[in-house]
Amino acid sequence: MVRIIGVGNRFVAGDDLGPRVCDHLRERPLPAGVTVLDGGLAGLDLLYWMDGAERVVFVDAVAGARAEDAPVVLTGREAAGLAPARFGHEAGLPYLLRAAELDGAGRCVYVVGLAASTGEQAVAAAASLALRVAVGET
Amino acid sequence: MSQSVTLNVPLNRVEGDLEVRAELEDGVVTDAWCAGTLFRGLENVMLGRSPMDSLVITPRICGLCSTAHLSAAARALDQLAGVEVPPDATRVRNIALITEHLQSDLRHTFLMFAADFANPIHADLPLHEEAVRRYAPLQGDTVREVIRETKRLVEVLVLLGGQWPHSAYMVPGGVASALKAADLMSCRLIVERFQKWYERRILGCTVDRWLAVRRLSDLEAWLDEREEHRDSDLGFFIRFSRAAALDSIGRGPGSYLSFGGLDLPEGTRVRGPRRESRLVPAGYAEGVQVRAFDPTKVTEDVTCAWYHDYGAGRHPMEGETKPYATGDEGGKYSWIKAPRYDGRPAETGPLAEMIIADNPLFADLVSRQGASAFVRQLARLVRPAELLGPLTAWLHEARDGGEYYRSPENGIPDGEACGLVQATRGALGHWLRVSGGRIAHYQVVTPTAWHTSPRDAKGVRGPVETALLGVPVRDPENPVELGYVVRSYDQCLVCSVHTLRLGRPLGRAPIGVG
Repeated sequence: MVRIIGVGNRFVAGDDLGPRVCDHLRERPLPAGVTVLDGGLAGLDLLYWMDGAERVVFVDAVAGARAEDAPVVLTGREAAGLAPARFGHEAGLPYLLRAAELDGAGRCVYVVGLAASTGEQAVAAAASLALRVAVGET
Repeated sequence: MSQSVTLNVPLNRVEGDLEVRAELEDGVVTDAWCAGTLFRGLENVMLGRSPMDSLVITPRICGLCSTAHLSAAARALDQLAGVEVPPDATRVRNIALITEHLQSDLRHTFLMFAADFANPIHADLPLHEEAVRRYAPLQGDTVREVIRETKRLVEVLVLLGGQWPHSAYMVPGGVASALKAADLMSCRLIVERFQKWYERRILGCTVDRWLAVRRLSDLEAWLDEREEHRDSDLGFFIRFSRAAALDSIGRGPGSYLSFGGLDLPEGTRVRGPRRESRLVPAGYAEGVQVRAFDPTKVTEDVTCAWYHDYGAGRHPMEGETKPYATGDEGGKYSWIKAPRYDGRPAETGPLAEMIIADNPLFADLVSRQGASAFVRQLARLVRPAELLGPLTAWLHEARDGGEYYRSPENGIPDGEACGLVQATRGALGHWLRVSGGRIAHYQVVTPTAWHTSPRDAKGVRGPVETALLGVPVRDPENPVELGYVVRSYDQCLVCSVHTLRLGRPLGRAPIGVG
């Protein structure tokens, strides 16, 4: 099973990329075995939805990409490494990804990211990229 | 020597959501300011919408407390519709809220609060090595177990809601889900397993044994009674907190508030304190003197918050959310308003619930030693012991084919209503006015607003600001003591604007393990 999980708050501009990508994907035919989940603000509770998936693709807003409108792909390990070195109390996506490693399930995890405030065309491109990552084409 | 320390407290999804500034004189805090650094204005998003939209939008105010927001929104609409919620629906609502409490209480204690037990600043304590083994972030034995065991609790919410996350199954008149025997059985098994783990790993004894601890002397006897008690995570928490003097910092304003929660459904065998109709009674206490709660005494003051001034504090039904970030920059310093009860700041959350429920252990601890970061967090850590019994009872009482919904006869009419609940972190209120079938007014006052409020028109500090006064800070570069005090209130500020940041993270140094 492959799961695409959008992360963010659809009611807060700047944090709505994940849900917007989910909306795009729901309008498209999905390959067999691929499911889409608007993970919203569920944080650590998303661990439950990673169980049983061989591949999980998170979609989230990313700041600092070179081109604002170009989606980027990070491995789960790369994204987990974005937690501050002096780790203490964070509970964002990097924390979730590090917590997911504790169960030793060996699943493949990726993050598709896009600058937060982007137009529909860029969001559609991020949705296409998420699908390609989900089926292992990228 | 006078010194200013600014702490950026990373709480959930955002860097820079709560900033705490403290002034030190000879290593002791002499003044403090709490500033929420984000404006979201979700209350304004509600205006002009259908009242039913509150069931979908307000749970997105917070990812950790979404069930509580859904519950408050549904409760306000129940009131407006004048519909009585059937007993089985009340059970489902209660089960969901308690499940959210269980998850959050343990995650906060062991993933957030106790992370600092592993801070190198405690290396001189004999218990430090063991603290690292238990609580080192994402490595400690307890941390790994808490992540694993609390993950399973989500399934209860999935079964109750029929959809998750973003379930909106609490509706005016009950719940939209009709539970089947198999769902109830699954929930019971999950809770049963959780309780066994909580008793074995966290308490080191049965829930019933812990609930027999009714005063400080009982607590000492309990610690001495068995090795399993001392070595449990609760026993270790008590021993380490005392060694680190967490029982002497973070007293706070000494006033406590509960809106009350967990209605007792008709026919239940669960009993509340003082023959209350709710398991968690409403009340206001100064010290341990409890008074009746009067919802008209709740106000919000914006003198020091970045909103258009409206004079003295206003009741949330008359409150406004008009951002005003320029002008009185010297006086205004936070996006959080200042809630007050009868004109006073108040703390809410598990410790307040224990005091207002006349819990003998916490009444004794607070009477003898005063509130502290230790007592506040202890209340959070043992709250599951208070709630597991009622949770199990309601899971057994709920019926396959029971009545889970009563349709409001007249829909949602125009009018005013409020939904008051005890969320995981304390008193949560939604106040709304419906006019012409649309939301004309919506105000939300969260537990975190009560705790991290800025000063009010009289210059009175909020609870966290007050609790920081007098706290000794050993190393201003690693002010772990301030972190304990701030986190003992379990802020849940945000779940809001958030991005992964490629390259070097921006923001100030968080409190954390070096």
